[in-house]
Amino acid sequence: MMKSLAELDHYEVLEVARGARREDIERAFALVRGAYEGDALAAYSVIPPDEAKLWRERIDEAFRVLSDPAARSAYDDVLDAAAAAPDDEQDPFAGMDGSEAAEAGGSGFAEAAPALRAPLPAAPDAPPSSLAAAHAARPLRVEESATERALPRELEAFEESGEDEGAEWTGPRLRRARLLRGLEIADVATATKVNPTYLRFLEEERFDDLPAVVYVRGFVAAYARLLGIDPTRVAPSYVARCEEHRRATPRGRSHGRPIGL
Amino acid sequence: MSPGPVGQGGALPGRAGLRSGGPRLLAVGGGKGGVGKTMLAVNLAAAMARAGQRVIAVDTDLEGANLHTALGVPAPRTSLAEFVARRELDLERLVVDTPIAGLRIIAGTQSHLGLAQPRHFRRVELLAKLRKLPADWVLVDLGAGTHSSVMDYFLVGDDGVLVLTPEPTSVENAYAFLRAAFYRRLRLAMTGETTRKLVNQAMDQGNERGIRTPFDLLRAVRESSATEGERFVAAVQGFRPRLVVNEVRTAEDVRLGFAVRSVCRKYFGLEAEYLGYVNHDDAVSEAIRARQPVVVSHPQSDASVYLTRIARKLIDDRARSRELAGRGRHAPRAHAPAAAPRPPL
Repeated sequence: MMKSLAELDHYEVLEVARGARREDIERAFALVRGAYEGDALAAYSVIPPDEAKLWRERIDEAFRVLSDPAARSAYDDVLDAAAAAPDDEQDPFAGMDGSEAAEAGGSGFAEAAPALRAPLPAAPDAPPSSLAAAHAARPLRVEESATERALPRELEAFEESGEDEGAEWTGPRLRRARLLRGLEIADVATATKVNPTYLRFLEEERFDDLPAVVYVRGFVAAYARLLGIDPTRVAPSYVARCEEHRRATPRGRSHGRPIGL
Repeated sequence: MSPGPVGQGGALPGRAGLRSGGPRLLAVGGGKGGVGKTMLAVNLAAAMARAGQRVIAVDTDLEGANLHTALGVPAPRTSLAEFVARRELDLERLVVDTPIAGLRIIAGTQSHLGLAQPRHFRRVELLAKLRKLPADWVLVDLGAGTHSSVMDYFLVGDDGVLVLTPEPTSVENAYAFLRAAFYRRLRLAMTGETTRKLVNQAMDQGNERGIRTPFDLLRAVRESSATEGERFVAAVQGFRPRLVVNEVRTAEDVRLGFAVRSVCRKYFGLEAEYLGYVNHDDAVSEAIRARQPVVVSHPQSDASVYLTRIARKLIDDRARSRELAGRGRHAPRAHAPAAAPRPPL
């Protein structure tokens, strides 16, 4: 549906389905919010700064409401009431033009839903102002890695469609899995406590620059676990590649650099 | 599938690929030169051919033809230029083999410089003939820029793929490309003189009527005519560009596809699809030097894995939409909405 800023409801602003789960809303918020940052690659060449600011406010407001169960439920009631209204267009903004709605505070619902303008429970923390802040606010922990992915699920289908690589786990495959989960090397390093340089070596399969196998196994296992992939599938395969490489290129000294780089 | 509300003046051949059982037309563009349009086109073509599809890749960039080279075909004597110059009217006779089984091409080479791009009517004829080629897929490699000749190929395809890289210049050009395609599509869809004029005015960003965004334009069109307003909305909804981010290095680069999709949705009112991304990989430049698609020369490479996935996704989507069409479902779109369906409100 072709709708302008003022016509979008909070779900549409965050680009999530009406029944979206909290984690999906958080994920979507980080993604959409990041798109309208001042110097964000995607927005800055098309959207004037003042308009981008309006967007960010609108996105923050949507997140404040949808991330709060009570506010969300009240908001859902308003949406349902609006949908059920005999209004021919079923559009709570009918008759309100974009600029009016924008003046009304950047929310199309300013008038349609006065209840929502009223005291919203204050956000416990300041709303994260950027993707980086969002990451910082919720540090990755190994245990919750499976649900901490920053990218929408639709890319997972992209991944699954390519799961023809069988049981072999290579460095590039680890990197593909990482990118798909929206994680940078630094995120993995923070969460796993593995030196980022080693993580890069793992991905690039620089076997000669990696430490002894016992460390490699540990690194790969921690990495896999963070990605939500069974480490017992990944580590043996990767370590076998590493050992094979080292057998094939004997260097006259014990393989692997001393840890500590 | 709706053929798209193309006005009488436009007369672009409809998107009939599904119904007629002819090839599916996939146009690969991106505005900026050097973002990987030809790379993506040859690799998707090669990956599809390896998956058993019959593919014909067409180089429409008559001024910078290079598709044949990327596939290791020495400059063919027959090319699209023969058709444009009316020396050969049978497109099929311009098709030449490549070293890859199942993949053939129509090159864009020309024997003498100065041959202009085909005019609109010639393009319309060409596009209609592309749909009759004996293949499962016709992949059209577009030139750079936003000339109307480029736009027509992009708009008429069943799938328009827009390639961009995570660089400000590329992103800016990608939007310029989208904007050009968008307004051209709208202008062709509008039937009234007044509303056409409105679209023309809106194309000038500094217009005096204060039309800055597609939403301003829609409002103006609606004020002028409700029917034209409906046509407008239908034309926008029928336009569904598919995004591919090339040269990805970081997770932030991966997110760019989603961010651009969000901007398309919120700023242009357009539903784009994020088709996938391709990692930066030295194997790609090695493959170009070897005059081979990377999926052939380095099938195990990172880039090949990504490219093969995109090709498979396109093939699967088509199979799915055929299945839907077979069941007689209403207006199956090639690309099912990727995200969870949103309730209409």
